[in-house]
Amino acid sequence: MKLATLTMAWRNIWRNKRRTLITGGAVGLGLALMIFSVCWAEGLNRHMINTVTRSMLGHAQVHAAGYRQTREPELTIANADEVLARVERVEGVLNATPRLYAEVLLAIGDRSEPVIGLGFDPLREAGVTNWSEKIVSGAMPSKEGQLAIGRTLAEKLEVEVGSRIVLTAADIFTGELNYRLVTVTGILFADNPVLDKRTALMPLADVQHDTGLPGGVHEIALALAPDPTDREALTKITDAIIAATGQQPDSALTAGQQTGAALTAGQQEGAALTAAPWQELVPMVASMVALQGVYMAISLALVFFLISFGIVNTMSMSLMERFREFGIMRAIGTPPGKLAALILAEASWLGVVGSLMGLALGLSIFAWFAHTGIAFGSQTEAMGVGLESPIHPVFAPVGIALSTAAFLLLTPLVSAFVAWRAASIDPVRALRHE
Amino acid sequence: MMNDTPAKETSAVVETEKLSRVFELKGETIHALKEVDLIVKRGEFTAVAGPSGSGKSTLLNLIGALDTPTGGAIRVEGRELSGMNGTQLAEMRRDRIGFIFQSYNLIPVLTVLENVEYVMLLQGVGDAERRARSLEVLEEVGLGGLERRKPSELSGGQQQRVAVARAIVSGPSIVLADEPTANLDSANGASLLDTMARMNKQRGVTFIFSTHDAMVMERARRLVRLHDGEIESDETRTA
Repeated sequence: MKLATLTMAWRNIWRNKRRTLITGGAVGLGLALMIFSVCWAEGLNRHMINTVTRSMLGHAQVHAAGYRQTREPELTIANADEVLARVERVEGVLNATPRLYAEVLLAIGDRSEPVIGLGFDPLREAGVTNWSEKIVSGAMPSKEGQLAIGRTLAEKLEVEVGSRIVLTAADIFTGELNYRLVTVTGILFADNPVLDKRTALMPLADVQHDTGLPGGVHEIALALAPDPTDREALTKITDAIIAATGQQPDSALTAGQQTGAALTAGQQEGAALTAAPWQELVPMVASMVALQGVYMAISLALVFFLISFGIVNTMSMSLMERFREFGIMRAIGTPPGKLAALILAEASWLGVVGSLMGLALGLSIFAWFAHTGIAFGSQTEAMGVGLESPIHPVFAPVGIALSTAAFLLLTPLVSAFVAWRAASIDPVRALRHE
Repeated sequence: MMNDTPAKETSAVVETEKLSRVFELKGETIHALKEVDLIVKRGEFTAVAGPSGSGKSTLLNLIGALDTPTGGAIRVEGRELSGMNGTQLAEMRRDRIGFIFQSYNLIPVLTVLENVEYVMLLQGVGDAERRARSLEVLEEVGLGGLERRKPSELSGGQQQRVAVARAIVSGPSIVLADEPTANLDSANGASLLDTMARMNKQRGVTFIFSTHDAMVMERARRLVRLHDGEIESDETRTA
């Protein structure tokens, strides 16, 4: 009987081909819009996450407890080499890179800029960030006395590759100023405005020396194996890192105590560590990514709300045109529920036809833009994250499946009222209908 | 054709007792049927005649469990209809009553065979039996070989014969036909009556049909005349 209802419903929707194609087309257009939107949102999210993680943060970071909140330069990771080695052995950690931050002054001629001196290990850093790919002129610093700066900063200081500038940094314990003549080896144009405008990338040893923190590391940035959108998986790894280093945040020591503290297996009495995934480090960006889901759900509801008028109108017209036919069906013993089921089956078929059209159209549009990308003309900035154009939509199977399922389910759902009307038909009145 | 020997008349299939139907229309009370007493026995071939507004269709709708009376009682095969709910009435129509309407009788998206099978499908009759019975009846009404056609591919007369086949195939107690020849020319009308009469004779199907066509009245074995909702005359003819 179910099969007969589906067969009848399928034949019924093709009694008026043009109307079915128009309504199916509207459903399809709505679904295509949703499919492209979810793929676009996925592409935008991934682009943003990739930009955030690859331009600076990494997928997660390890710090001494309190450093993230205070940025106190004394709060370094004790026994950084040992911690780094342990972190690298944690399953899921692909690469780890140490960094040290200091406030420095760059000066050349009558021009000077206070910037963040970021000490890093060029070899390790390449496994976490994409700085080397962002060099537009020269090369990344590789030995003492070299530095790379962002293009905007270079323009401000009017320097180019090969320029020699004076770098001034203060010893954090004595306050004594250290001066160093450094050579600009590279100019980069990064997706990250902070990196582009206010950062000098230097060898780790130089910053350690100039700030009086030999062996000091403020941060270990990590590249992790799981999908960066999977916060749970990232958190498992950061928890494993804390467990592997044996340093819980509640055992934090003062900066003075941390310096030079020994760390041996089974006895970690140096600084307590914190490890956090990128979502915790830049919650605004994480919230924005999460809000995309809400935005998509609202869009879906809105698009479907508009389309539902067309669906209800089509089903109502179909019912009115076949009023007498429904009367005859009722007269010969068709139960009301079966008439309702017939209307719902017709609406479902309409949903299937529309969804197939929508899938074909939506995936075609997606495929086109996935290939070409969508260019904004220049670098766009959102939440302090530079979004490099063009942005490519990314295939989002879950979003596509949910959108399609929503259209398939909602089409019969909005036709429920028409189905109820069909079930309520008075056969005597319907038989008088011409 | 009406010289066919009538089917054996045994017990009452339909009994109405002081059957009344009152409609309220724009504040006006219309007595469509007034205390009609009627007994139709198994195998009868009965015409209900009368001018427009005499109550023919109302009577057929009430006997066919499509409408409910405002007074009196109806029994079909001894079962009182007025106490039944909507589902029970639908089951009664499905299992006990066959219908033939004036026009647009058939479900357009179904083939001839599927239309004939439809009621048995509702009854849950198995595929093979359904198919066999439908083909047999189609053959009997002279539509063998047309089972795969759609109603739109048939003439009006052929469509009405499909309706006859659908009405009788599930073996109902009674077949109600509301002016079945009204939209047919005289040749097709006569042919349809021949078919109905043959089914009455061969299968013993009880027919009640409304008409104001003199030719149809002539061919009925029993003629009940209605006027203003009351039985004016009730005449049984012998072969």
